[in-house]
Amino acid sequence: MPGPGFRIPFGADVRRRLVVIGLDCAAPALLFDRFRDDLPVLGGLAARSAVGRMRSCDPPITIPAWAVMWTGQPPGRLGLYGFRHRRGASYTDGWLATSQSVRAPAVWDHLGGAGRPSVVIGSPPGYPVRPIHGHAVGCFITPPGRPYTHPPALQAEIEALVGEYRVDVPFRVEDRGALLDSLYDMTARRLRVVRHLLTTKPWDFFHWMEIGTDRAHHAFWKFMDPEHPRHVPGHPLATAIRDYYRYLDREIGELLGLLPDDALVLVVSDHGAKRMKGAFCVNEWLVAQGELVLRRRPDRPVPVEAAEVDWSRTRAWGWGGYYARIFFNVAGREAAGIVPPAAVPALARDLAERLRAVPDASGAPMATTVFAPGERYPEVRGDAPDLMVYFDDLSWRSAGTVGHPGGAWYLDENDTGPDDAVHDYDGVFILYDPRDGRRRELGTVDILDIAPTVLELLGLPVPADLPGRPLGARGGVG
Amino acid sequence: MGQRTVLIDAALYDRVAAHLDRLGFPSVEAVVTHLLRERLAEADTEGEVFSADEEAEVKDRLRALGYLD
Repeated sequence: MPGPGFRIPFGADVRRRLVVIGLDCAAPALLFDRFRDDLPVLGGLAARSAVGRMRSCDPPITIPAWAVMWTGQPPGRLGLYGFRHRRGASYTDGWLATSQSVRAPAVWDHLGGAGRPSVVIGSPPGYPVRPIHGHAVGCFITPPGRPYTHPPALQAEIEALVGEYRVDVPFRVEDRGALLDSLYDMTARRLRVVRHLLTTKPWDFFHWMEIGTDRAHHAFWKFMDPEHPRHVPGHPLATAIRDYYRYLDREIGELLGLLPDDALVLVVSDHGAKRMKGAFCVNEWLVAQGELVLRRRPDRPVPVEAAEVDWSRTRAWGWGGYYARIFFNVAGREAAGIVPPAAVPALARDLAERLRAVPDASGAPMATTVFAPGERYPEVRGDAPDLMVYFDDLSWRSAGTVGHPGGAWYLDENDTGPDDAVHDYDGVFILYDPRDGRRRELGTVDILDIAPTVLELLGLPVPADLPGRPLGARGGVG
Repeated sequence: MGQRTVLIDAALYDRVAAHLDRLGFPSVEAVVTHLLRERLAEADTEGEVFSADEEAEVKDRLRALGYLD
């Protein structure tokens, strides 16, 4: 629990400046525990900071999590439930979340409205890059060759500095040594840009979001973790994640040395990570349950959108990813819907009960969470699924493909790319105030509290429609 | 960055001011700035955000990264 006596330092000088180091997917178990002795800079910072775990949103996924963090609005109000969404009630048509999907103002929009500049680098969804009061660099969803800066002239400035700027690493490679090289190359280029913008542009709010931590977890977790189902003992990449964290720690140390003495520093991740146990084929399971009916079984695994579905006999189908989305085939909503609207609640309850009872591949129970968006969000906007499913507390990702040999429900690995890790609910939170310098144990903070906390720290009013509250108001930080 | 003054109708200003909390903005200036930026961003992006090829490329990448199935 937070200790007593913290107050936001309102007073003579409310115009403070904040640097946010966002480490996508950085896990408390690694940063605070397993790698603690390897990270002198972050460890030293944490020793003088308000520290906690940060409960991400539902779903705990990069999009919507960063947008939730910086707008302070829940996914239901943003209408963002992941990277991809159905277009209305279409069986096959969908849309990808972009910066234009986020209609609520972010922290930097509030600051800009008050005439205070920001620098925002890589915060998703950051394409198309939005004009802000200050400077912005797009995120990893930027397609190759497209503009990625605001103002546009910043792109040439960046390329004069680092050559080609890399928003992401090429991930569909089994050569993980090459992936590791790309990871360092991408981050090194970005860090040069970070240092450049930090020292040459005006800012009251500076946010660097590094996607490399997420990519490292997904690519190298099994080499590090002896309890991973596909652990490879003694592999040369066993220390890849640790080494990358150590590299970031050194670089963060250099950055901290560039900051004005009075700058606040926030180190935060959008969600955590843990070892992946496998992939659960949600549509194969729905086929076996008689809920999803195929006219013909594909002879190889294909996305459900590419399968011949008999919609006249299908009640439900799903999408995969780090969590599963279930859609009902509702009469009057879907083009060939068969579930009467009045029967939807009972179907939802029944399906949720059956999903929670599904065991893992060994027959052991899974801690599976199933909920309808309306149970988790005060408002449900946009193209929400009918049910959201975290298999075994997210330890099993979900595969939406059908046509697996024998209608298998369980896959050892992700069928769409090399992947060793899944997401976890809690990210990290370290808030350093040089005017305080005492360590505070916050317990678990909520992602919805971050935008209000940052607005208050920077001396701006907290809009009444944000459901979160500043941690300072709870005696947490300040 | 420098700032400029723009004159708007007083009644419109008052209507926006009355709804600041609900709109989630600290000031009328913030509302106007946000709306103008939004509109400019939309004007900068003609039609769909991604071309068909770009969407396919981004989807492939997101699939490889595990975000899509």
